[in-house]
Amino acid sequence: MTKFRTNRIFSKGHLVSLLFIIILAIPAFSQKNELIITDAYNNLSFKDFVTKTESNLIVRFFYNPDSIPDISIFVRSSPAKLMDVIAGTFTPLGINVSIDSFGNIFLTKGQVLITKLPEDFFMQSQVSGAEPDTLAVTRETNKTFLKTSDAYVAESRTVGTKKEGARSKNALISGYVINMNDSLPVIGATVFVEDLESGTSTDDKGFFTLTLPKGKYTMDVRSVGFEEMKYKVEVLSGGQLDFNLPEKVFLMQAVEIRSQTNHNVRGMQMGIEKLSINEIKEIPVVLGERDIIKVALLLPGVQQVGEGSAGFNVRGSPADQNLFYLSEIPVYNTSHLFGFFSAFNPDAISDFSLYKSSIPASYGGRLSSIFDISAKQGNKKKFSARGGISPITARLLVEGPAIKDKLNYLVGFRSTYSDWVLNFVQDPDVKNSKANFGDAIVNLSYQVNPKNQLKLISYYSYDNISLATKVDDKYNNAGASLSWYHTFNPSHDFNLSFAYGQYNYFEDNYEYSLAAYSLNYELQHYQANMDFSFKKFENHNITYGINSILYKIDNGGQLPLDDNSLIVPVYLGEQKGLELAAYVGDEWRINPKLSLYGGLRYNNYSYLGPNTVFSYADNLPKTPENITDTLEYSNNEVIQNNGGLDLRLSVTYLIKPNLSFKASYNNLHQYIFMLSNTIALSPTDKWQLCNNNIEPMAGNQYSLGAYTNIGAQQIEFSLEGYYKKVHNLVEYKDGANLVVNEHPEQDVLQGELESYGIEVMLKKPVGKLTGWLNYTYSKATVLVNNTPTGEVNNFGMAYPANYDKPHSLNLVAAYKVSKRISFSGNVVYSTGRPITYPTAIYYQDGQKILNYSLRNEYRIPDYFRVDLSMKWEGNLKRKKFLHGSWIFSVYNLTGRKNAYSVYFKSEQGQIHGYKLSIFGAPIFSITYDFKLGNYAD
Amino acid sequence: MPTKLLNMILVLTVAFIMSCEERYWPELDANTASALVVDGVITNALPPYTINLSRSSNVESHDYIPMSNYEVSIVDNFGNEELLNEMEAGRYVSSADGMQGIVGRNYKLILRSPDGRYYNSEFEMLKEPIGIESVYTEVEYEDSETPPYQIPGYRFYINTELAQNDSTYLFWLLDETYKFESDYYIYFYYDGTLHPVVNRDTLKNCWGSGRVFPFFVESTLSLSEPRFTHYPLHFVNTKTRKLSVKYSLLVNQYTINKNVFRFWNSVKQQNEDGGELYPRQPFQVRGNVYNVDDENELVLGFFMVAGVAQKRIFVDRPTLPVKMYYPICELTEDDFEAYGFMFIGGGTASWPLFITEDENGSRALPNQACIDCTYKGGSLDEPDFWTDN
Repeated sequence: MTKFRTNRIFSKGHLVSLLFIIILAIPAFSQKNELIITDAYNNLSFKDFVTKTESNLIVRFFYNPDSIPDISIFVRSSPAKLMDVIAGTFTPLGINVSIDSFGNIFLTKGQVLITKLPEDFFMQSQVSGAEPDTLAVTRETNKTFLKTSDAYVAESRTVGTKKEGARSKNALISGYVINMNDSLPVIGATVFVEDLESGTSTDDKGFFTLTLPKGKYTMDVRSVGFEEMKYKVEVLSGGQLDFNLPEKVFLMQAVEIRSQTNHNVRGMQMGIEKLSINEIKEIPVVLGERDIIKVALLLPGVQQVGEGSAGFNVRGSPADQNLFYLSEIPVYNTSHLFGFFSAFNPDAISDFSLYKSSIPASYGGRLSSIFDISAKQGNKKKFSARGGISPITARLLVEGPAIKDKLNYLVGFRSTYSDWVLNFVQDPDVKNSKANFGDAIVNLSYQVNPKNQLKLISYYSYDNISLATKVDDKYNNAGASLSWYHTFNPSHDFNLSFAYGQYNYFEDNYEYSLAAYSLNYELQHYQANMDFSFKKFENHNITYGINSILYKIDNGGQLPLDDNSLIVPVYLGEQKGLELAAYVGDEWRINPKLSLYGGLRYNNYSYLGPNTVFSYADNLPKTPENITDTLEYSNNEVIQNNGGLDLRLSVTYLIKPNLSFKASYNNLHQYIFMLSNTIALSPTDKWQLCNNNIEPMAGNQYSLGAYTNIGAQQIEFSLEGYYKKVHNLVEYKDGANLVVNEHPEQDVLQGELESYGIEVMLKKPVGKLTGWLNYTYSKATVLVNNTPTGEVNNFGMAYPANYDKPHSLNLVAAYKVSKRISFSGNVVYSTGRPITYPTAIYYQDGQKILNYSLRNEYRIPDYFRVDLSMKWEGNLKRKKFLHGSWIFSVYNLTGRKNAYSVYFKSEQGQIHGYKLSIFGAPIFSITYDFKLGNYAD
Repeated sequence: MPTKLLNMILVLTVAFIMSCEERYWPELDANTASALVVDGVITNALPPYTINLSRSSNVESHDYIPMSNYEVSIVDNFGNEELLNEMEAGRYVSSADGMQGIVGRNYKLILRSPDGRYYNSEFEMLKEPIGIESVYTEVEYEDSETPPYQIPGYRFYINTELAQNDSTYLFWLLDETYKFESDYYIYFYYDGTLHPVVNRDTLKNCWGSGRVFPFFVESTLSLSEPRFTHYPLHFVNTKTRKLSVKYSLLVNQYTINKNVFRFWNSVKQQNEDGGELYPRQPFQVRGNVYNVDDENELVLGFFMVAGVAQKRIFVDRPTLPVKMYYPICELTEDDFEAYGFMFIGGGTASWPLFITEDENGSRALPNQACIDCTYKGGSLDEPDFWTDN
């Protein structure tokens, strides 16, 4: 601590004055370069190393502790030259090391301190030698897509040897991009060869391969949340080339959405949204619960029926066409408290990707989107803990190495303490209610050796809700995944994973003792995946693999709760299904301007016994009268088998380095659906399998987009249009009761869904002000007109889907005032959702009865909301035990009473209209977050 | 029952997240063409039977619009037919000695509009009526947001007889009649001059009556035996005078077929749905009557055919410890002053005014609802079925 004071933390101002001093101090001090240290300095943390060196030698260190990682210093030979050791450690990290003639050692990043005048300062005519390691500040930038506003320091690297490279013209280089702070792989980082205007990105293990002619290149490596690094690379032959990226600490923005796995313009993906949890930290949310799903709703093309409802709608598809994975664990119930909060602890998540179109062939089984959430891996280097308290929940997460650099763990818990809040409410119904929820996640990661890694992730979430002591609901999600990553060689690796996901609920209803009942339901999902990635051929990135899923569903039943109840026990039976798929995909860079992705996925679905099923007469409504046969199937006997071939295509054409056009076609199949005829998903909705009486759904999506980056400040602009058609959409007969339904096929009608739209997105990922603005125009209509059976919905006319909101505008902005204070806000507008209104009234037996319009003929009032939050970070002291931050937020600042629904009730024979708002007032909340260590840790 | 659950969810949310419900009336298309409405029932009870024809009306400014000059007839599946007479506008009645509904037969309604359009109903089967074993009450307490937070009252329950068929559908319409008293005796009445009154209890005893909302419709399908035991009907609290003297409930229990059940069950669902977080999609409930030449023409309402059983019960004013919470009038200073002002001003529209006296003989002009039991719709005529014992 006392020693530390001499290690001046300098600001830019100091830097300039230092420069002057240094330049004036021309007298050479070169012998200081011969400072020698021994292995007594070996394996010290940098801080200790500095302390020790400063006390034993006549040197002083100058560096900014926030940008220089506190890594271990290894002295590999003894004695060693001090400057060689320091340079050897820091230069690969992109940190410049220099020493002046007084023994002052400077470690800087992004800026080189010239500690002596150039050799040719007095000799203008001297012929310059080799190309300098440091790139000229005034670099030619117009050629590259990466318009950089700062000067970057390049580090020289050499790959291979001349001898090895003698025989071939091209070289295959491969390696990892690694987070310098925690040594974890950086997924989705781009490695761009500026000279060739081509590049690649790292896979889910942080691994990349590149094939390129031998030669000298400037490579640019970047990823979300990391410093952008440039390297001078001389490729002599094939070989390994790893890059270490420092985390971006100073430039870290509240909302930083340099988000897509691939670059906005150049990447092959379209219709993908990727956000990391750091980027969404400060977006204001209800009651201060950071929530990835609520943030996803601010993205273009993502809609929701109403505030606080579970599930969302991507590009006009119903909520059951989205598939959620939490690090390979399938998650079927993604929300707590019926949809008010998402079931994922934000501290335990590193990022999520939402594929809206151009879904890679490795995914299937849902028509609309894949929501892939990556759980955080434990810190490999040191123990750390973080947590927080919001008005609703308390969170705690610990992580660290169990065996350093080998085995690390992460354990996170979140639980509500909301019960006591209810006690303050006077209303007896509320006072006697209870609401409890929580979730837990445990991750283990074991690096067996450089070529093999094992990961075990387990997840649990629960809800216990007891309403006014008359209805008890319990919801549970549990799951685990085990993955093995193996690298055969630099261009071929594979991933084997087993995953299990379970969702169940129980409901006890004892409102009427005579009809007291209990309901239950359980879904089990077993999945095994084998995925290979193969990069042997130049410009091809081939992926292939096999996925298999076994579904087991217990539909439960309705049972009398006790002896007084007259309810007849109803057992709804079990279902079993097997979904197998094999796929192959190729990302082919045809030339620097044109790339193509093609994928084929063959799905085979079997609905399996044991079961007893009905068969119905052809071309007649599926009613009890039209049952022709009752069929018994034994265990694992195939009742129904469906095959389906999915085709995925996308093409990217770079017109200019910062302008591209992309087009894609997607074809998918889905064999499971949500039995739900409520407007928003209800907690008693059940997933069901397609069977001999309910056809699998199939969907096609065409999309087209233009992408460009504007200006040096990197404003990303994209325009995407899509057209989507879903066949065999599962809809329901009017008034169907699906909660206890022994033969759902008798209440199901299958129809067609058509949707199209245009999404405009403008993002500003960097700077003091960051955020995005998007506008979506979309339409989604459903048609149920079953010609052979004559069964129709809405009298055979097409109607808008419940979540059809043609105009939608989202503005998310964050402004960083200083390191400690930042503001952020949202503005959300959308057209009101469609609704069926009563248009006439008539009398029947003295009752007034409402006659309703055609389905969804009207709309509820438009939705508009403004949120604001302020984040206040604790002090920036470097040495502290705990760093805290406060987030003050207001949700629905204007207090607008946005309609959730409008409905009419007959009360004492009178018809009254009502509007229900969920968050009809500004909601203030304070969240406190803490972590071990300082601001930057 | 799920609706109740969902309402509770709403209640929970209210406290939890400040949700709110407020009166709201959306802009509706006023030009929606009105449709023919059929409302009538044939039972196994003695005729006459009544069929009401009307038109649907605008939701905001609704009126009952009767439809006159239709030819209305009922036919059965044996070819018997009876033409109904229009007794008053839109009200078509069969003759008292005409066709009587017979269990097991099918009945159909045939309409011809004045402009020559034909409407038919489907043939509907008249079901064997299930009997009512008993109707009884239990004292229950209802939650209230204001003190005393728990308001007592009577919940009515029904036990039905055992049905022969597992899939029996029942529809209950309830009619209530209750005797109540006004608080003061009449000493004088004033219509410009003051008249003494001899029979001071002239306006003291009244009978109120009406249809109970909501109706109840159930199926025995989910029950272990096809009967309803301890099935809860409506609740009458003690905040009004309904239970203050004597209360009578007439239960009309209709045994209906599946089509009728579907109709009423849909109507019930739509009445109850709403206000919850997970509403189902509302839909147009179409009945069993259609235009013979144009099936797309919207015809509303249902021609109901049902077996009927009735039961009437009487319940007395609940005794202690059950407390009554209806407001009781007490003479105030204002009432005494009002008596004086009565002679100076006031419109003739409110005449006659009734005057009472307190125990000291001071005259007062009280709130007329406290002295005239007909003031809020009571009737002075004792119903035929009424018994005070």
